Amino acid sequence: MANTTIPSLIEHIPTSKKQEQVFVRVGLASCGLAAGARTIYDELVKELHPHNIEVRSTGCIGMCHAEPLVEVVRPGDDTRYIYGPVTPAKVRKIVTEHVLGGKPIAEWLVTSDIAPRPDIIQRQTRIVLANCGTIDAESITDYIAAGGYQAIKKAFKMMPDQVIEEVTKAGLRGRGGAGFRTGLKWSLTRKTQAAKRFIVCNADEGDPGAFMDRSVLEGDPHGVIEGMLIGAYAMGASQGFLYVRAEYPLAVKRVRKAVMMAEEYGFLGNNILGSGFDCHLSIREGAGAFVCGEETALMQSIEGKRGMPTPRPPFPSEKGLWGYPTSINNVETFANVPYILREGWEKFASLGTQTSKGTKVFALAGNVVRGGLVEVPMGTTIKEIIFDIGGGIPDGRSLKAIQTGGPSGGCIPASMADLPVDYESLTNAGAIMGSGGLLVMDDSTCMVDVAKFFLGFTVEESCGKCTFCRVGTREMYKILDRITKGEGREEDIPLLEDIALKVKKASLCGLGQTAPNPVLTTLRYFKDEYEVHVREKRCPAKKCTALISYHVIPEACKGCGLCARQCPTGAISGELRKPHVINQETCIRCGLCTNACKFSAIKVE
Amino acid sequence: MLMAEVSLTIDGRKITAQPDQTVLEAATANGIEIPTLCHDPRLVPFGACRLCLVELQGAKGPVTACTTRVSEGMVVNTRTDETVALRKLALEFLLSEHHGDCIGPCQKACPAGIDIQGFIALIARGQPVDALKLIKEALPFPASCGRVCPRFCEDECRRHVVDKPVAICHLKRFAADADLEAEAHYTPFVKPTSGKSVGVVGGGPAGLTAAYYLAQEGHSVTVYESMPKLGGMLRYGIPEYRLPKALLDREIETITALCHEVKCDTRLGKDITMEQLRERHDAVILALGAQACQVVETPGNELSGVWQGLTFLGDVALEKPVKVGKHVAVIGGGNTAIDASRTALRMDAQTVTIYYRRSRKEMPASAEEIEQAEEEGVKFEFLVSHKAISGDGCATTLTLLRMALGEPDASGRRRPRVVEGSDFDVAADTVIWATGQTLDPSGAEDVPVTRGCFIADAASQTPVPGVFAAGDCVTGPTTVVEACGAAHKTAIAVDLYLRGEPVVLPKGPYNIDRGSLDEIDLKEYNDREKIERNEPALLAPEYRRDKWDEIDPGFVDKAALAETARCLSCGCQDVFDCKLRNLATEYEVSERFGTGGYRHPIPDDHPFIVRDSNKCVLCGSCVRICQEVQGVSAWGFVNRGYKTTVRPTLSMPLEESTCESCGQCVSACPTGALTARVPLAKPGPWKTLEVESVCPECSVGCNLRLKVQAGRLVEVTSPVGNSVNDGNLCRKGAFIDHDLTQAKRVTAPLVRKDGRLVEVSWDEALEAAAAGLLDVRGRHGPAALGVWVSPKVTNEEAYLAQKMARVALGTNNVSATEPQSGDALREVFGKNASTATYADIDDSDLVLLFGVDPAEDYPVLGIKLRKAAEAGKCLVTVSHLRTKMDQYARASLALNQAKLTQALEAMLAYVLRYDLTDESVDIDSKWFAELKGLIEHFPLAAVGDSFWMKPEKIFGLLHLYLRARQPLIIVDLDNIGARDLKLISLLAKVTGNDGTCEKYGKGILAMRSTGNAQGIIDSHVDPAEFPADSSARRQETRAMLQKCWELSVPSSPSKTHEQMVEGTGDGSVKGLLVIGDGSLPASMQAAAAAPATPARQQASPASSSLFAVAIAPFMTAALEARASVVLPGATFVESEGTFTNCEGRVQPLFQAVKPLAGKTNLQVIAGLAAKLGQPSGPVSPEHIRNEMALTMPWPGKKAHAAAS
Repeated sequence: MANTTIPSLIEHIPTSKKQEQVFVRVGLASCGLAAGARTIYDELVKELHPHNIEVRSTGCIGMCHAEPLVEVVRPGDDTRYIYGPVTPAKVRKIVTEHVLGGKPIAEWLVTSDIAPRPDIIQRQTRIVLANCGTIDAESITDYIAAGGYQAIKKAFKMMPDQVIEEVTKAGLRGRGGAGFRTGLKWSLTRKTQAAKRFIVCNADEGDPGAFMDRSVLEGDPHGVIEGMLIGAYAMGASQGFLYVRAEYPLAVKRVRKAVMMAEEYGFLGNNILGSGFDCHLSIREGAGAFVCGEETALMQSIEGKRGMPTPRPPFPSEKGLWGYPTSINNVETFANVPYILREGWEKFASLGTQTSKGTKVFALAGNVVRGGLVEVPMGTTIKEIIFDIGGGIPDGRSLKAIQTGGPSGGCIPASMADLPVDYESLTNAGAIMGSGGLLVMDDSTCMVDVAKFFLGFTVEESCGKCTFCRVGTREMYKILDRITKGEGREEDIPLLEDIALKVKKASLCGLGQTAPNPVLTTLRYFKDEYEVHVREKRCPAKKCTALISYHVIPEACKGCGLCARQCPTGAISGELRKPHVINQETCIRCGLCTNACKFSAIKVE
Repeated sequence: MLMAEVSLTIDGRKITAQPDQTVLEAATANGIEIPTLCHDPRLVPFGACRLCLVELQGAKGPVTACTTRVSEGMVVNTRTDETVALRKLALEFLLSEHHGDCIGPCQKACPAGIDIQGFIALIARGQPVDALKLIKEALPFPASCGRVCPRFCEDECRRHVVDKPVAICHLKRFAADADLEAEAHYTPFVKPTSGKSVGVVGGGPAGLTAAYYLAQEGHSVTVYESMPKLGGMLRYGIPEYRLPKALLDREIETITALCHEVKCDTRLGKDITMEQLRERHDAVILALGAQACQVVETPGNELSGVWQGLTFLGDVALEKPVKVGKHVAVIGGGNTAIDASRTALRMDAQTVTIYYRRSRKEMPASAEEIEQAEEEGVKFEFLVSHKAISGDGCATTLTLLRMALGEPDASGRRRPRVVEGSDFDVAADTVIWATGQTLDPSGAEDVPVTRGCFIADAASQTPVPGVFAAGDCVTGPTTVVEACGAAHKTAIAVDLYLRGEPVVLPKGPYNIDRGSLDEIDLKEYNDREKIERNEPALLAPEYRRDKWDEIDPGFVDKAALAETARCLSCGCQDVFDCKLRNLATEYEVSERFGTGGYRHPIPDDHPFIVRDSNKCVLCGSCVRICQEVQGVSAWGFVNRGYKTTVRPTLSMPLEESTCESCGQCVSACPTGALTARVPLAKPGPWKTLEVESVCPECSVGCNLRLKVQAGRLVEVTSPVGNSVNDGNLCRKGAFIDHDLTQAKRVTAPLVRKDGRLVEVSWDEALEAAAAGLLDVRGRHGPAALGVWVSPKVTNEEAYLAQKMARVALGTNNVSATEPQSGDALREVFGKNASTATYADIDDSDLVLLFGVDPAEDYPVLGIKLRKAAEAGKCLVTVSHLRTKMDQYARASLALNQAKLTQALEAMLAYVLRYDLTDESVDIDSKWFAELKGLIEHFPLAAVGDSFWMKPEKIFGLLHLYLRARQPLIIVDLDNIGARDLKLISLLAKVTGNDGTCEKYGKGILAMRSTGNAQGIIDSHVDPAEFPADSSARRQETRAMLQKCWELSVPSSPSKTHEQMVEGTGDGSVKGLLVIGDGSLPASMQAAAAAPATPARQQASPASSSLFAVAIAPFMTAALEARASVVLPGATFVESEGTFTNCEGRVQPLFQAVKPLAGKTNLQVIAGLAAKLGQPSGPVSPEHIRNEMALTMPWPGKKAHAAAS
């Protein structure tokens, strides 16, 4: 496409679209699709097509717990009417009463009263997720209309060093986990003498339970591309790679389309916007190895090799892809960049704490009422996130611990819930910011079991290269497994701690260096729980199946036989209307009977 | 360009290093050892094993030394508590994955620690005496032990899970007997005298063992024995029919031969005191044994006819007049009971009965012996105990009690208890007590005793200074092998004591194993073939029961060989080199995380490489060397995490993968996961000697390190860091031992008689060879003779051969067995040799390859070139074939020979036409005139019109060459025509890039296909030195040789190689001498293809009338059919001398093994020369080299030191 036509094409896109007519928006990110949003979308199209009313799709709206979500947008009305979870049966009524009739159906809205904005949204500050859930991710014009690609235009008017300066002043730090200063990383890469440089977007989101990168890619792919483009311009990289895991097919599809559109509109390719700057972006699909989120392994993978980390130094900023200086930033990091350029570093730096600026997106999950994606200013306390945004702990239980940073992170006890989330506070507490997984655990959680769960993940995901990670994680797992089975020995706890500290210290890459974190933090804050497992062969949370037994309380049992019918091994017997008995020999401690019993007549010991 | 050095401190030592070095490299260069498993100097640092972690001042945590570059002022500590703890844990982690046996379970079980797997493999090699030598490193009594040992080894033999254990003990005896039957017994090397003296009290197995090993250390040993003869229990406790005394005497002689003095009939406390001993000797070893009988107080013990078992056996051995009664009762259940009963049986007893208080199952005697005793007629009464012996002066009756077995006692055996009122009598006129032995400490009262044994620490030291105790007197009664094993350790301790070193026994090496017999996974042995155990048949019971002859005849050769085949060779091939084992030993690791966490099948999928993933530490060196150095990528990682393993590409069988069989992965593997297949019946392993040599396969001249054991080449390796090949080898070199082993050797001199080659003496064969050659000369003149020299023989051999040809045979017809080209180099540069070296590859900025296919023909050169190309060097290939190097080349030109000639002519014409000659060129010189003549008529103007190739390609290449500051040309002389070589040489010369002046990076590197092709040309095996057409050169050479030799050199021209080949066909060559090669000229080979029938011989008189002598290591069909005399030659492994590689680098090779037929090639050539009437003088390689230096100034410009 000839360069001359491109600027003119852009000029014709209005930067803000005035909405004249009512329309309906359906969240079609993976979270919505998984909950059946596609059917709802099709239903809405069927219902609204005759009325010539538009049905739009958008990315993750941020209330994954209530998917599928449908938003009715009426011009001139600032209230966000978000319905969820919407079933096909509800569609017609929403159409007739609200879309056509203008009368919201209060009881189906996500919040019970017709609040201007639900808590989960209202209490957030959205920079990264600003476009998620509001624009059509597959439409470049939507993005441009929402102010997109203005930042790169602004950047082109600056010198590359000035761009780096802007990002440096904003205090942006890497959102992938380690929190390295983005401006510094770019300037290091820029400083290295080389024939060419590469920029890489790390979209290999591997933490179980973390999905902010996926949501951003699905909901606002152009935001990430624009961020990369600014970075590429700033450090003089002419080629970039988006390394997306293949398990994110929708994200891959949308990013691919976005790159195509950006090329078509002249935002990628040669002589971008007539600036003389060339940048080409390619997409690389990762095969789903957790370790490929580690930047040296990721580069090996891009080069077509086995994804195994390489020793640092040399750092990627000196010798990266194919030996050339390379800067690798995470999706969320890039998504912040257009905002900084557009709004100025002061505005960004005004958010957050002294050392951690801006916002952070968290994937809130676990024992919490409203799970989903939340974006809050740095420094917000864990408590605020869990209780004010997440709605607290369900089923009347209490908060026991919070795991941040996924399998590389650590468990923070409830007593530290006042901790503000920023890089330093979390690191001091033994956890890490990581990519932003935030798992809430209530008092029914066994912390030894949690440590074992996370370690089980790293055992499987270790690349197998270095001795400490490959064997050390497995030996730790074996000890934890022993402990949860009641076979723990007194010396296991100090041994576990010793191995964990050495694996942390001596492993080759971040995966191994952080893999012991769940073990070390649970040992730090919940050592008594380990000791009870080892010394008393007891699981206080009653989670470790080898250490518990199910019994019928004869006084409470009505002899209805429901439990016996549910029992998969036929371990429960008894006459009708008489107290039943559980055979401990054949009981596999699955807990189905407890769920089945209507009289709470089954106790766990 | 040299960069400024940096200085740093490692472990408190200030050192300097190159700035691009890593901490590991700098430390290693300064002799500071940092452990690593994944580092190989040939590879990019990997950082996987985490063993090289060191502390860096100022760093947050430990860093890997292999990846950290040095910097100015850096302070490194390699062995802090923390790094040691981390390494130890890493090693324990690695071992938790490791599965295998370091040493065989047999060796582990043997109390003497005999290398059983090793000695069995030596027997399998047909070298029983070498097997004996290996055994004697651990046990000086193999012949005796081979007869009486309870075979702890066989109990643990892994063959149990397949069928039956290997007959280890019999094999040991076989080796020992082979030595004792030989004329001269094996005598170990004895170190120079130490001036220290040791007194050994007790001449039994323990005492003599200690004496044997101490004497070898150079100490003066005196043995004191109370009995009339040495041997202790072996002599006085074991009956003749099990261990013939004559044999024992011979075995003891091999020990006493090393001792200073032996004093028999000298009893401690009576004939000599401890004080005297301590005064006389620097150290005293008490090895008194446990020969006192444990007396069981019983009524009637005083009666005549009542014996203590050992006294009984001893008196019989002393040939005292011992008599037994009609009914002999033996009380006890051990080996002494059996020996006593069987001895009594061989005397005059009518019945011999063993009374034992427990059941048969609990008997301590070996099952085999119980069975043999029973066969011979010994009766057994179980569950009976003695009560009293009665008789009138002489014993007549033994009163016994019935017993019942109760609960198991501490030893696990069921404790017998008396059945009340069960007394009964049996007739017994001889009663022999065989109920245990103990120490008699009399004479050594100063040495404290506990529980009937001397007190001694782990290093055998008693509380009395300088007094040690060894064997049964410390441990209580044991077996011969246990006593010997213990005494060997005592000897080591005493040696330390005598040297004034701390008396602490060195810790044994760390050994991992697959587990005991009941732990191992039977599946691992599913594929093993069942082979019946070979066991010598004993003499028939009815024959042996009243004879003293040895009842076990032992193995005959064939059975022993067959039995060795049953050995599973459990122990690891890499046990003597394994870095993991060494580090595990050094860091004293535990097995707290277990071993063998993961099991992989052991595939048999390659002819040269054995891989066992169970021993892999995932250092990735194999994967990396295959990819980084070889560019092959036959290996890769599979799976993740703990399940990660290394497999061939796509998990194919290795041989079917892209593997080129270079063995580089084996050379890089730090453990036994990848080992070279040993081309012997059993792989050993053995401790080897390492001998430096040079590969004879091509002119790259790779340095070899030959691993040799007991006169055999066992493995080929190469020293990493050498400047020719840096430890890299290709298939041809790495597995040359397979080729050598498989080839059929000439083992003895052969002379053709009545059409058949028959073995004769050296003298006869040399005589026949000389006579035949002289006869041809006499009848047809010297021109009818031809001498062929293989380009695989050493410089010295080639030189001596050509000298013999010229001086003794009077002919200049001397040629290589394969045509050697490169004369154009002589014509242009004055010498038929390269004008460049390997170092020039690094210095050059353009490398032009003409007709070279490095991957195929010179793989190690290929490695250099590929690395250079990957580092950015401009490479251009010109060849008629596509080669693997093309993918690394900046440009590749495909030209057949005709086109190449035209292209080269075009280039030269272009150079002259546009006056691009180098300013140094003397345009008035003869060669320049010749050059002008050569291309005068080249139609330069027509290039482009009628030319087959675009001029820009040819002239583009020329411009590339002209523009380069240091262009290097590499040619394969076997793939380039003489004219092309001349044109290339002229191109280099006319452009000033010939490399003959002191400029690096330029010149021509000429590759030749065989190892010493350059060397034999330099040694005058070159018909071109005596050409027919240029008498000036001929006369020059002749005069020079004549002057040096002071002998007459024929003036006649030499036949060219082709003329010699034709001559053998047309009959003009009638006498032939071929040296160092089994091949014969092509025309003879053809004749050899069909058997030489008389009719055929008549039909083809030319070839049949040829008299051919060969000095050849290998027997070939050609020799078999055509040679008149075959003299056994030596291979390069058996030779000492030098090879000259394509650079002109003269490299030494040392004799690794003795020539098979006893003579080196030099000796054979000299022998023949003598028979021809011209003795050649001394034949040491050094002597010949000195003489050669006179006749042949060694390569000038970039000369490399010759071997000294």
